[in-house]
Amino acid sequence: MTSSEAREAPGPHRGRPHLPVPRTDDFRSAVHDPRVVARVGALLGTAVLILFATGLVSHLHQDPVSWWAFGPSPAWAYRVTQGVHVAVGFACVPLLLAKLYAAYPRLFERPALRGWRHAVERGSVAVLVAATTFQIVTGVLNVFQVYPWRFSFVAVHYAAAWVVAGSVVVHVGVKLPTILAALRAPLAQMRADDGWGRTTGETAAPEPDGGDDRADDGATTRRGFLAAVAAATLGVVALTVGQTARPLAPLAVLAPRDPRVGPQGLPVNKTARDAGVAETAADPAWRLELRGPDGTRSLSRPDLLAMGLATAVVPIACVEGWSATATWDGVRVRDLARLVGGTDAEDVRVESLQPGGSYRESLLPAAYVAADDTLLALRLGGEDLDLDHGFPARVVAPNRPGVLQTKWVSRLTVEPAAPQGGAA
Amino acid sequence: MSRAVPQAPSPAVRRARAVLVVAGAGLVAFGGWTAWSTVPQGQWLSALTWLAGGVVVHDALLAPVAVCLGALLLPRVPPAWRAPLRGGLLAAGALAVLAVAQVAGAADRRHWSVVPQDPAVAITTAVLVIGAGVLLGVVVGVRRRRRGAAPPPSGRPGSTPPPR
Ligand code: HEM
Repeated sequence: MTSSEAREAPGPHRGRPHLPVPRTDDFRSAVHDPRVVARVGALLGTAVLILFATGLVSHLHQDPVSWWAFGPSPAWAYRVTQGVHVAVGFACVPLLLAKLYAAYPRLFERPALRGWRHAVERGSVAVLVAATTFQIVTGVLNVFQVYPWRFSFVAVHYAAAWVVAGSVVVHVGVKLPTILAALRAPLAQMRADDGWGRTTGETAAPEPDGGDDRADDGATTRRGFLAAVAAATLGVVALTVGQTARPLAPLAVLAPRDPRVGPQGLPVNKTARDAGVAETAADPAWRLELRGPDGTRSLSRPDLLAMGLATAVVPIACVEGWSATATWDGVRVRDLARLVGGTDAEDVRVESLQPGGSYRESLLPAAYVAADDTLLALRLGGEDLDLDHGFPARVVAPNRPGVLQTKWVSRLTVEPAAPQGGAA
Repeated sequence: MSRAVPQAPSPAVRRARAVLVVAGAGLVAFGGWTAWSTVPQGQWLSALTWLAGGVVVHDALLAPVAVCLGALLLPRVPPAWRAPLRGGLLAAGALAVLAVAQVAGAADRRHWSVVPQDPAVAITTAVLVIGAGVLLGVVVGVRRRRRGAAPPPSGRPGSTPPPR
């Protein structure tokens, strides 16, 4: 790739009749160097760590466990963790490309396999590359709502997350001596032995003073490449993060969403028509059913409006990484629960008019029910809710994934609190 | 395991390696078990195809194109252009991935707030941003080279092409 790659072009395969399969040594660019691979790898590894941690947060919101519970505050927490998840996910696209590009010559190592240990080592790299590439490519397509596959994204993404994280850990373990040496070595230093078992033109004749032309070129090339990786990564983030960081929205030309665009200035994920509620939700005969220890009650929208509305400023934070703050008016869920004998210590199950689908219902754990800002919202930005935002009534609670802010609510049921987080 | 490790790993490094490999293998195994027990069998073929497909497309198509492009293009430009151009190619690769997703997303919207922008305008804008980044990189590179080349009287002028 560099000047040297071409300058030293006559490779060992000249004169072969067919497309030659290259060898590790054929890649002469100073970019293909463990010092570069290790530095890009450290960035990518950190990114995967952040993705794994923030992804687990999202998983635990939707699949609560008894030993870990989220609460309504801070209100912005899920918006930040999932916004970071998708922003770092986008940043991984250039990082992964850079890492694979820099390490690419290793694919052509000879002999291809030297005994079982080496076979296991190469196998672990194959798993690492396959799982990470898969996770990043399908993750990006998913947030653009492109699903050209026949599997459940969430289930596979969750399982693959463990494989990606684990294979990164194995990889760091296997390569640890090389990584440590490479990270300690200055980019400009020449070494006869580059840690890949190659002796390259650049490194063959080390000169203690480092004044050698080629070494200088090599150092410049490596530094330039790392700077380019940083620029490309920051560039991708700059052009996408506005989908969750509103002040940057005008820059977000590559993002799937604009937090300012949608009915009533808020993006929509599931529409009333897709949810199969276009008619039932618009029907004036709609009633909210309340169920609790004291029995059942049925309230119309005018009944609810007459209860006196509370106002909450709560973000919708989508699992897909976009988020937008909005001002909602509605009745506090805890006040509705009290009408049927609920207390602040009980959970509330929320059901939608939707005939089916995985997000037809959600469970508001007691800690959320008790919060001032947990509303059965009737109005958005001072107007009646748009049908696609959940008219006649939807739940909004702070610090919750958007998929749990159930729309087109038909029934609230007070239930004894599930252990801690409230496993559904 | 790598052949040409500079020094024999210290006991601490050896221990750390063992811990990392065992712990990592445990995480991978948990992921495999999770996939096995939660992903319906009818979905495995599609998931495995995508798993293998990414590697094949990268190794057999994208990487060779990138290497050839670099080997053919970069030696023909002045040195100060090389790093910025390489960065531009990297950014263009990343843009290609996002552009495919954006165009596909815009082609089949569930709601008009999904990919509300015009992909043609958005992608052109991103290409211009990459172009501007490359030019900025060249300016910085030329300045660096000037400064670096100035002190030694016999210094080589940084921006001339290397001898062929
Ligand atoms: C490469 C390493 C990655 C890891 C380890 C990872 C991990 C995770 C985990 C553990 C979850 C929770 C899944 C669940 O709820 O069961 C998650 C969710 C999610 N991730 Fe990732 N992820 C990665 C990359 C990406 C990328 C590149 C994107 C897109 C740019 C992405 C987008 C998403 C989305 C949209 C969700 C929410 C899914 C849903 O609940 O519908 N992820 N991730």
